[in-house]
Amino acid sequence: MARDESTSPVPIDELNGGDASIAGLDDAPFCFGVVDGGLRVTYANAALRLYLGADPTGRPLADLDVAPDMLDAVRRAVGGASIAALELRRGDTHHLASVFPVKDAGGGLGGAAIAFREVTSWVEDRRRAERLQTVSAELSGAPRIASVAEIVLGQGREVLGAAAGVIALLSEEGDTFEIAAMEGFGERIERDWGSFPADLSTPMGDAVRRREPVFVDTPEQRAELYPQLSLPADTTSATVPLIVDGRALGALTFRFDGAGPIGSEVRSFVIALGNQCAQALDRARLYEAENEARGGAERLADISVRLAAASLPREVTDITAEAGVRVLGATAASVVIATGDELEVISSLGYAAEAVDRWRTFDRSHPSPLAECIRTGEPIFLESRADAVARYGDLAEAADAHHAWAALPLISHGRVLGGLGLSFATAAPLTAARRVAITTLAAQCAQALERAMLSNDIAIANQRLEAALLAGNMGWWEWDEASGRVAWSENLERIYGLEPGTFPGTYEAFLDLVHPDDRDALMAHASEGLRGDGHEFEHRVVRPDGRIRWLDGRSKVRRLSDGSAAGLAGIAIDITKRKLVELALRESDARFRGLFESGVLGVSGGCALVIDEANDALLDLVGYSRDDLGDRLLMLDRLMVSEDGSPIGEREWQLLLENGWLAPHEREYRRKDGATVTVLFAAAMIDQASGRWIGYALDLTARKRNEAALKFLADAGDLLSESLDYQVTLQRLAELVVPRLADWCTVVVLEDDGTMRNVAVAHSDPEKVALVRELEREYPPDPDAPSGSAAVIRTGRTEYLETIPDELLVQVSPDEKLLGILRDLGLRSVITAPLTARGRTFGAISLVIAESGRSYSPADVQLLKDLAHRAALAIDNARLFRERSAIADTLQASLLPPLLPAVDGFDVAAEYVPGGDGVDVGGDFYDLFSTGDDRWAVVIGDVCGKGAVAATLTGVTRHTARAAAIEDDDPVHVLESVNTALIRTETGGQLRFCTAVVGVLEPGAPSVLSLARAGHPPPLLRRRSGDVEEVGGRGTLLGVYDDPELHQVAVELEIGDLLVLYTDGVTDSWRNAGGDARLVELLRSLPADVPAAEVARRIRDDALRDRGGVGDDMAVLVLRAIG
Amino acid sequence: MQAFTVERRDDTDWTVLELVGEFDLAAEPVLQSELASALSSSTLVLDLSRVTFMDSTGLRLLLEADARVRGNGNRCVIVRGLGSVHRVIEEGLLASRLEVVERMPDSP
Repeated sequence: MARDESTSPVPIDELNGGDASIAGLDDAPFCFGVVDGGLRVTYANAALRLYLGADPTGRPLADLDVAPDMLDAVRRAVGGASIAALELRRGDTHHLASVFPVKDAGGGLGGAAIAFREVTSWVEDRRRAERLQTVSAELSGAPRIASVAEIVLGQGREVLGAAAGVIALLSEEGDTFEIAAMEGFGERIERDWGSFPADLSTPMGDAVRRREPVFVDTPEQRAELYPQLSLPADTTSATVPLIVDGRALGALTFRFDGAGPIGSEVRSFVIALGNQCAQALDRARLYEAENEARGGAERLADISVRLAAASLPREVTDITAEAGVRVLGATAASVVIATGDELEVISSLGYAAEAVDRWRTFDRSHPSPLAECIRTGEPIFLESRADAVARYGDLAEAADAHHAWAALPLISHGRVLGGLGLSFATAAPLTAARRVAITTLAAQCAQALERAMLSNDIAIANQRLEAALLAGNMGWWEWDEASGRVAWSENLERIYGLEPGTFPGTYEAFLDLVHPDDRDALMAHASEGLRGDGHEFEHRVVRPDGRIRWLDGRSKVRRLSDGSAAGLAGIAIDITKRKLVELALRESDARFRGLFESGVLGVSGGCALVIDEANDALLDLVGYSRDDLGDRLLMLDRLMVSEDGSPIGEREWQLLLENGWLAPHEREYRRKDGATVTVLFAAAMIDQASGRWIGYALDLTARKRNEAALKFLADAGDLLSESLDYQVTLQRLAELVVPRLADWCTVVVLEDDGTMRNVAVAHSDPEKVALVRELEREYPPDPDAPSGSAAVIRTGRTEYLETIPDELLVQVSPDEKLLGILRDLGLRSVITAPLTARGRTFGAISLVIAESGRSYSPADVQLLKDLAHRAALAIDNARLFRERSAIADTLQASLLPPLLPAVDGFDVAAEYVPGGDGVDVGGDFYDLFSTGDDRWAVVIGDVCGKGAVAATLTGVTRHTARAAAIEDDDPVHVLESVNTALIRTETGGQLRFCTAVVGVLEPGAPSVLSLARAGHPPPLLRRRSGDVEEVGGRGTLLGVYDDPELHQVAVELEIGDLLVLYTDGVTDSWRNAGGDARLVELLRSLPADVPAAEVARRIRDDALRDRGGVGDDMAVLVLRAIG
Repeated sequence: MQAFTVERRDDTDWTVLELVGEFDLAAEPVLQSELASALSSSTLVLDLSRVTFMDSTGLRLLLEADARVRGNGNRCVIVRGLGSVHRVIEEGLLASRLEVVERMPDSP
């Protein structure tokens, strides 16, 4: 700043000579001295003497402690130059000096005069002002609250030398300070002071309340004003409110070490810094909010696409936890799924490993925010540590890194599936915008989770069904007559000898695989089945390797909702084994005859009716002894009985006598003990005159029994596969068993609640069945009984009693009455076998012999076990079929809104009819929801894709439309968002698109509907007058092109006007009956003021009537303005 | 109901697939098998003038066919259908994105 000027030198004699008073300089408030031409001091005023601590007069200037700059300046002044405003620094002090030449007595240059003063505080002020300018520039470039705070605190500490600094922001409600940044207070304070109430007596609180700075200059002052603040003794503080446009954002405090009042320069600097800080914070806050809104919405849209595409529950929870941290800014996030009373953490992010281990599962009753929100179904937001500690005590205390928490229940269709927990370590995270985002994330997670859980269930159900079918050598199929499509389960493909997935899926392809000899009959059966109620037919198929398999096919007609037949659905069982057994039986019969003819077995000889010779085999067979033979007790008359038990020995003898021989034939022999045995008997006359003959007999009992068992199992197998209603199946089974195998048959099943229920009872006497039913009411089955059905269900092991001892009856009878009844029933022998499928025993079947008097043999036990096994598989299959279709229905329902919301001024209704694919989920959807402020979004669409992909795309479309409309309900924006989401959705190369209409309705008088259409049939607007018009301009369908052309139009809806949105499934039903024009005509012909529900129903019914075969999905959404 | 069929004409310059009948889900296997062997043709003409009905599945098959042909670096020309059939294409604003012509051209 030094200025060199050429001035005329001051005459030295005016200054020289020790007469300081002349110049009045000795008392001047600045230092003043004069040097001669040889730079020797000739004069020093009082201030200079004080400054140097001695009188320098007479000493050379160079010997004094003079700054080199000064020395240099003096030299130049002696040479004639004047130098003004020379800045000099000496340690921490600053000086401003002027040096000019003085004349000697002769008028020549005689030396120089020096004047200077200390300007330290002035220089500091100026430096601060400059610094403030720099700070201002830095702050204007700081985009975030955190960076603003960092700059401000850093400058305060550097420029002011503050020991510590803190910036706290007021919450939206203005009742809490949240610490935004803090430096220099020490770890403990910085950890504990997350937030504090605004009304607490603090410098910050006072500064904001009074809207003026608060300076605490002494410890005494602090003790008096803020007794509760425990700060080190020798400190002072300066606090300024942060105010922009009259709004208080918070406060800024610096703490200084050392006692004593805070200088005015510091005060003004803090105030200036506070002003700049407030401006910058306000900007940063706006910037952050905007950024969060824009970035958050974009990323939430991404998340919603990812959620909708997730197919496993675990994927959904992982994506949600990740979104909680990466998108919503939480420090940690976890997602739990509720299973009964247990809550299981499926995904978590950001928590310490010990915490994750500790909280893998916990109880629903646990006193934590997550458990509580799941119990109550209400979200919980904890704004501060104080809030959390007050409500959850130790739990919150332990989480020392976190300041705020959010816990939200995951609710879909009214069911709480689990919860989402977020923890925040940043200050003031739960802004209104963030809460909306958190709530949206939870809602999307819940929807996606429900869908994924259902998809998971359906996949498991399908696998189980396949496994069960595999075990039973069965496969299922569906045939849609109209399209000729035939769907097969994988196992059916295996039965046909095809690789899974290679069956072409057409009726023709199926017929090609059928044995040529059976083809015509099969086609006849199938078409007859279609006209009736289904079909049953055994036929052969030729596998690609040429091998022939026998199949038993049965089906039921599949009907549309109007009752017309759409096709057949059924199962096919590989019965090749049974057929082979039948063939083997025939063969063994022939072999046996040969064996007999070789004369190997039982031999008897006799004369007329008396048998007097017999080998041991024959005696064993008929139960007589050799003595009986001697006593001539063996008579043909006594042995041979007809089926009704009358003696026929005489007749046989006459035949033998007449023909000379009896060809081998089956005959019942009555044993000595009264029982009958089946034998194959043949005889020949030896001597006609004496009446002597010889006979052969073979015991057929064992073979008979095997034959009966095989026949029985074959019958039972047929019966079991007939019905998908297991109660009917079991009752028929019980009836099949009685009286062939038992006098009694009962089937008990275990209900879900652990009780046992007798589902089938059979006895040839209906009165006895009634008696059992009555006894069951009086003596309910005890699940813990030590023997009988309960024990078999518990252990899964078969129980067999060849004879039932009386003690057992006594043991199982709680009173004399029951004992009496049981004894009267004369129970003799019992077998109870478990009904077990997929490792689970769910019932037991018991066979009992009473009045018929025989006992069960181990062979019977094997037979019953076999029967029970087949029955269990059949029942399990039936149950899986039911489960699978129920899941498909639910999955479809989850893609549609469960109930339309009530819209003020409108009567709304919808109809939806799924397409013909049974368990597949269709692509039509509609939605109606509030976008806030009494505005409503109405959406209808049709996603075109196949199978599971279509379901995913429908989910993506619907969820994206919702998320986008809530973000910005401009219809074109919503459609563009859906377009982007669909293009991003992975479909494995499959082409897909969606047509849709999005409308936004503002109810009023008149109501206004803004609408955009993407490749979808135009909604129809039927005016009260009866005129019908199409609404909305054309737009590119979605999901194919990334630059769709979309237009928005607006129409006014007056009272009585009717808006109908529909999918092409409706008009395609009338493809041969007028198409689109048909719908226009239908609406035109409606009387005025028909309720929306009635309009929707009429459209549906009319379309169903004309839809031939299996149709596409159809959806109709009707809005009627009612004012 | 008219079953869907494809009539094929091979020329040195192009292959014409004339789609006849109702173009919906039932058409998929028929069209796919014809298309498989026509993909190598430098110009494929899909003639919709004898299609009596087309639904969104028909449209999907058409877009898929177009994408596959173009994906092979070949040209796919669509001869427009009648009334309701063309409307399906018009409604989706596809006429400008596909190469749709009014009638069967004389040569490529």
